[in-house]
Amino acid sequence: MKANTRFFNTRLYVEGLKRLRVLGIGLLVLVLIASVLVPTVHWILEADYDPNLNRAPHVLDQDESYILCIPILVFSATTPIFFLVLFSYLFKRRESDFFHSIPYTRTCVYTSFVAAALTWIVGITVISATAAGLIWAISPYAVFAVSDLVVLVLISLAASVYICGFMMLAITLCGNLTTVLLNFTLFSLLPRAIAVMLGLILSDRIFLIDVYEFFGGFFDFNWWLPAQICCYESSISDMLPTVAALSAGLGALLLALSGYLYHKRPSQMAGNAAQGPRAQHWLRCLFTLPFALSLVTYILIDFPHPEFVIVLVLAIVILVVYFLYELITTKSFRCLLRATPWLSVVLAGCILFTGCYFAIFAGIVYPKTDADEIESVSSVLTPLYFAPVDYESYEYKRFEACRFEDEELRELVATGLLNAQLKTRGQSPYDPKDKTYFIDLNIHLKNGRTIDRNILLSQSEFNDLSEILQYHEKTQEALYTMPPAESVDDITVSSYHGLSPLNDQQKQEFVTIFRREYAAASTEQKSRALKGADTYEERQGNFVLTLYGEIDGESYYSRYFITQEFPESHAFLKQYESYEPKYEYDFDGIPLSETTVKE
Amino acid sequence: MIHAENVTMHFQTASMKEPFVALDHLSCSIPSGCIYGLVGANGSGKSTLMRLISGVYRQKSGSITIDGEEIWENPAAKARVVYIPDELYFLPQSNLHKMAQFYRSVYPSFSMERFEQLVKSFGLDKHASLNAFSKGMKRQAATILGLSTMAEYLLFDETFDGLDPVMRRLVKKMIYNDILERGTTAIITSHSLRELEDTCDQLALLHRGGIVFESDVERLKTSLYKAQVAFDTPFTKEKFEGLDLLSYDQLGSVATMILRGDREENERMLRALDPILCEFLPLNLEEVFIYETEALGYKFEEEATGGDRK
Repeated sequence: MKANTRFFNTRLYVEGLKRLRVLGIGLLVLVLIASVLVPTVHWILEADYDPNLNRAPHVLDQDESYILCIPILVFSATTPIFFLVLFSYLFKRRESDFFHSIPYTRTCVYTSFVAAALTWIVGITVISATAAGLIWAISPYAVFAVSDLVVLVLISLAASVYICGFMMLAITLCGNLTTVLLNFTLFSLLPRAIAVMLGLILSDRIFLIDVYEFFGGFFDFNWWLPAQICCYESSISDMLPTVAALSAGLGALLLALSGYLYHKRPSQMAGNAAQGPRAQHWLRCLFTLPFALSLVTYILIDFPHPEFVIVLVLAIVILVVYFLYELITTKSFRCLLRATPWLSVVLAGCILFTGCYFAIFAGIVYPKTDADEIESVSSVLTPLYFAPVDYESYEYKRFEACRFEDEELRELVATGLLNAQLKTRGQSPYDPKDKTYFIDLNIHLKNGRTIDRNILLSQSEFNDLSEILQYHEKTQEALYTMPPAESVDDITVSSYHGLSPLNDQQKQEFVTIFRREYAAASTEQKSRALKGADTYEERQGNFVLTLYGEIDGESYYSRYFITQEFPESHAFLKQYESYEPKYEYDFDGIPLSETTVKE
Repeated sequence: MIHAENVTMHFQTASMKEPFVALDHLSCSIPSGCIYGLVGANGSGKSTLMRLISGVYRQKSGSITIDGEEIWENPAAKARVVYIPDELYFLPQSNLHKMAQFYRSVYPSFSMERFEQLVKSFGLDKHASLNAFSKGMKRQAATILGLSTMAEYLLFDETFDGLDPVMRRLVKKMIYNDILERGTTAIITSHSLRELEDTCDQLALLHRGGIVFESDVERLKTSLYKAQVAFDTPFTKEKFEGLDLLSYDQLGSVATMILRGDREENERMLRALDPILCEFLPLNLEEVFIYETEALGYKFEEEATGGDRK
């Protein structure tokens, strides 16, 4: 069978694997040792606890157990080195000529070698993750789930593809190692740097929007995979798979683009900073751009009175970076003079950036929205102003989804929106000494659009708004109605002093009693039930009911403080009150002996 | 046949103000089954042309074809060509054997039998690290690998310059055998005309990116000759009207001239003038090249010292 020489060739692929043999085996050994060592050391340390110190060994729960695989995530950050080593022939003329003289298309060489590099990366990741997972699975101090391990491997591979895409882009555009490394840093950080700077200016100057939700989360740092991985917290873990998938997609696109650029790349570029003088100019300007934009950012944020010294220092930094890049990459002083006129490109980049900011500013701050254009508003004012509900509670989520269509409310919102626009333009309608409120809400327009804005209200306007909302029938229904039984997945009943375990039937019976009593209670009683206990004394002799469930795809938990204001419910649980607490202090008044049952 | 039509190639690195023109509207045809020599000074475009023919570079304009097929990104055409460059490269930590395995995987016509035979002929250790080889031995290794590919077109870029006379003769013999048995075409570049004189069938002189002069060797050797004549009466150059003179130099009663054309006819015409001395002397290839290029208007010595082309 004739060997494929156009798109992918097995022999070249094997040659690529061989070229990475030393690096691959070395990294495999290192990562494997680290991957086995971390969970093992954790096991040993947790097993070696002293019961006399009154500290129980800490069992990592499912969200925390990922830390046992940190070596794999760290490895994913080093994977560009595979591409750097494999394609290093592009930096030396005779090597480059050799690989371009063999009878394969450039696409074939590229895809075969990329496949070889990815094979090593996938192999090391999977092997190391499997080894770590085995220790993790048998360790009594970590909760192991195969699905979590698979997700972690996929996230690590996604991070590898993402970062390797930038490396290949740099390799195909540049001709020597120094320039590749400089531009790899540039390509991987520049888009996020621009987003961060623009976000900083917008959040500082435009009060009407929540920058991190504007543009579909473009400015939200959580959408940047490296930030997600480094700052991994259970509260944002839901985003991580999505961010990883998107990042992998971007990485794949960059690899594909690099394949096209590799096809076009002349062999004689080897050893040179860039393909030609024009490419060199563009790369230099791009490299200087984030530094220049930092000056623009500072000026816009501190406008109209930026500090001259800081401006001068930043300007000097820009010039130093600009000419130093040229000097380092071309090693020629002669080129510095020729590079000078191209500073205008950097200037043009700054003007474009400033223009984007002013375009967004004008688009948000100037268009007037009349009350007649507003159909309804939602997510108005956190109910915490008038109801003690948790952010994750069913009640809070219900309230956020309520759409208020009252004319008085719409008038207030339109006024508040105009006030916020005026303030942003520097024409605040209020005396600086007056107390004002910025409120974030969703405005649903009659044309079908929904805009997320911050409105500005005076004290009296805020009071009017609070009153309308607090006593609105939709608010009452949202905040003081228990979640429907069919949406509840789990029930927890607890007591400060301890509670004997209740069986399913008992739980069912209790919740039925409480629903009846709660429905008949007054708003104030319900409010106190939602508020919970603030003091030790309040907790004595009382109970907490927690309902876990899901509504409209969002999980919730709602807590109710059961006091003698709900006599039947209180009495029901009182008969099950049992032993003293095991420990003198615990965090939420919930003893370790609580049980849960599905409703 | 390799055919280059109006090929232009230039280079411009990031630090260069203007591009360097390596080939300037070059056209040539290299027939199959011959040994074609390319001679020229440094920077004349020899290596660039070789890289274009082997598909390493892509020309800025014009076309280069092998038997009518474009070479660029054409694996089938590239498989018929093997390029042995002036600056050699071998895979890291490799020896001849490993390189042969790589070449075998890359070139469909690679012959291990031929490889073994050549290794034996050259007396190299195929398992020794190539890093340990001397410069000459590396050239021998590269030549072995190139010849073992059994390619139809062999491109030697200043390869012979690094070989000792014994090895040079051995390689020439290998190439001749290939030409006779398989109709291989060899293209050899060198600085030295003397080097190529004994080896090549055809020669071309490159200067500043263009082919200045191209001819087959035998015709070159017999196309020009030197004649010395003396008369007992004063004479001038006009006496020799009717002869195709490339160069004329007179010192007293003795004139030395370079003549083109049929030698017997020219001799007859000179003797008809009744000289007291008439001798014909052969020219070496170097002298032929110099006189032919001077006739075309290229004064290399004047250019080297800042003079212009006529």
